[in-house]
Amino acid sequence: MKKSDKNKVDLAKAFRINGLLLPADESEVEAFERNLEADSNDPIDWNDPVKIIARGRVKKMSLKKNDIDDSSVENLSMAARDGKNISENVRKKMNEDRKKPK
Amino acid sequence: MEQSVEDLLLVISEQEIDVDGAKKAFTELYRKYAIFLNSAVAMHAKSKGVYDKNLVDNVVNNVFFEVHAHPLNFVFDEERHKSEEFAFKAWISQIARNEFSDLLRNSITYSTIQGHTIDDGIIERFAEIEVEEEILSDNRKALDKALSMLSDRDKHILLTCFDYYEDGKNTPSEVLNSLCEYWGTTKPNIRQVKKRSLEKVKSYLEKAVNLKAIK
Repeated sequence: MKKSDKNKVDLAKAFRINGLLLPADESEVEAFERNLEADSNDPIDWNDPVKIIARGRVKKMSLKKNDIDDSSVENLSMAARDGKNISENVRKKMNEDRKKPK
Repeated sequence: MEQSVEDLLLVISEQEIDVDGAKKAFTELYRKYAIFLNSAVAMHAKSKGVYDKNLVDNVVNNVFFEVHAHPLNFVFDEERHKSEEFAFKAWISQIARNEFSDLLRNSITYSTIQGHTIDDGIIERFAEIEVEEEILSDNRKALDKALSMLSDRDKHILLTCFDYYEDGKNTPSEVLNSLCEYWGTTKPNIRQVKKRSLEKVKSYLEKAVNLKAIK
């Protein structure tokens, strides 16, 4: 392996060790902790962790989309096209495709 | 004398024989590692734009419940691991990651997921993007700034794809399908958003931080 190769790390790893994603292995935890910002809130049931055992798994959870308007398919499609409007021909084709049996 | 993680987990595993001992061991383990996990989960949720206190509490709850339910799943191997503390933190981080994966799946309906498969090569691989480790490893600000150029939705899509990135492999089809359902869109759109977001991030890192992206 060339020296330059050894110094490369993929962007996924950079996100993980910088705290943007959860670390995946021991070495990433070590680097991650240097960037870890302590949360101002205490962990759940800090004073009585045994409550966690009694409570069991919390099943009713959902991911909220913070500060994001509900994005319609149309909006996201437009974003994917870099903000350009869809042409009549493409729209027609899409409508036809949607009607096709799956 | 302070007990090792493995010792504590062993006591927890014997909860049917010694209930009080197991509770005490669990409490000790929790007090030692919950702050790390709580902060890591909060940071992760914030960076993905899905933070709320209840979510963090629930993920931490479920991770430690899992630890309590399957304490012997953690194995410290002195030859493989260099620190029991870091190895355990990596393990609970992995469980938390799985919780987020379940969350994404459970936040959507499964109506269109079944039967979907992704052809190899449809989603380009992240390994194309590499940066200088010594510069980027301590440059959280640069990454934050690069990501701040994206909308919350695009950031969520990009980071979720990265979250399940494995070297040399495509984004798992299950994750892509979950994203499609979550955002109510199609795989080609997710692919386009991801590609463009990646280009923006890469371009910022090249220009502002003077990083050299390696293709």
